Amino acid sequence: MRALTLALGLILLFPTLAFTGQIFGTLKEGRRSVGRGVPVEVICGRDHYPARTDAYGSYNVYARKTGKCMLVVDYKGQSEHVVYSYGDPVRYDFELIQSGRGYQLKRR
Amino acid sequence: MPPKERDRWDKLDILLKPMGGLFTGLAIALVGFIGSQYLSQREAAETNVRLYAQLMSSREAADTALRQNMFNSIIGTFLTPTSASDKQFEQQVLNLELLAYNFHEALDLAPLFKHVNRKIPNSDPTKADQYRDRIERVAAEVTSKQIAALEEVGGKLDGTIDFEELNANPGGIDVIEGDLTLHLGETDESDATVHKRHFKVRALVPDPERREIRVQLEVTTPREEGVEIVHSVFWLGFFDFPIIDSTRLSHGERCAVVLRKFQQLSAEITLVYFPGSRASLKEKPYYDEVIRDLLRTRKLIDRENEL
Repeated sequence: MRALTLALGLILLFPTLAFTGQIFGTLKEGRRSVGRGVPVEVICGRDHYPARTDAYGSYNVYARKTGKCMLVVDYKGQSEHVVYSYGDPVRYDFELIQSGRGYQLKRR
Repeated sequence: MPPKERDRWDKLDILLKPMGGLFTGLAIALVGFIGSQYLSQREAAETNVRLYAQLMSSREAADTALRQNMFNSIIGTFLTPTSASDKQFEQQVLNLELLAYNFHEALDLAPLFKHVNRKIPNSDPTKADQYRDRIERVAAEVTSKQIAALEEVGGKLDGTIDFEELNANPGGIDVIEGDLTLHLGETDESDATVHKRHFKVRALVPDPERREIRVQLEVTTPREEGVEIVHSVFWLGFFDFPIIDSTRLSHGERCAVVLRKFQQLSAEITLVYFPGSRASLKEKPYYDEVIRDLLRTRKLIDRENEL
């Protein structure tokens, strides 16, 4: 309870901290959403920030670091794309395009 | 001559004669009642519509008057000569926020934003960053709102500019490349293909000091008689709002490139493609575009009537 109060207090005092490094967006295959539960991971240096898509194929990752990172999607094989995390939220929408046996991430 | 014996038809005739009159009366009363009901309902509906129109127009007039007063008093503060005191900077940033949130769809506020941004280095050094953050934040919020409204009717493509890669390639790097299709109302697929365009945005030179990027926009539209290409090179900054500052395309359509983030290593840009009806009132449509739109609407109505 004390930790929660402290976290809430910090967010209220420094609201920009709450959004630092937030990377969000949607994953689609063609026009359809990839659906719930697709693993998405943002890797910034040695730090890994995992997440999963919701029913609409949306994901939301708090990277807590700014700069160049790698977004890895595990959907019928792994595919990755360079992303940048900023001081405030940034949106990366991707379309999964079949290439050979796997998929490529194409930014929309 | 003995009286003719009445058969059952004669008896029925005697019985129904007064009933006929009664039924006629009832029918006339019923028709009158239904007719008056219909007329009174129609009158009530018309009154409601008139009242609604009156309310809307008086609300619009009151809103316009309020906005006019607000605009005059705010813009006046920018046009009068001011000292470089901290209070004045605070006032100007606040006024810019008020203008941006209330008039971002009607006015090109970029010159005002750039003017205040240029003056910020003259302010108190301890507060300069705070002022810059505030005006960039308001610009980012306005841009986000406009993109959200425009991408719903049109489409968007995002791209990231990696400054290391850009500096290593002096000729520029391709940041956005893709097709977008505009769906206009009930337009069918054959019409929708006419509005499919290929967009390409190339980053040329960054200007970290002004936090701007020189970009090249190329829009290619396949046509029956060949290819239509729109080509444009411009500086892109935080204060270029898509509804106001857009590139005109054929068929009254528009596209705009927007700078959303700018940091030491990278920048984020977005291209939006939308119908001219969503552009600001500042940019009036050309007459030939208006006539073409009217003809197209007429054609659509005719086609719907045929169905």
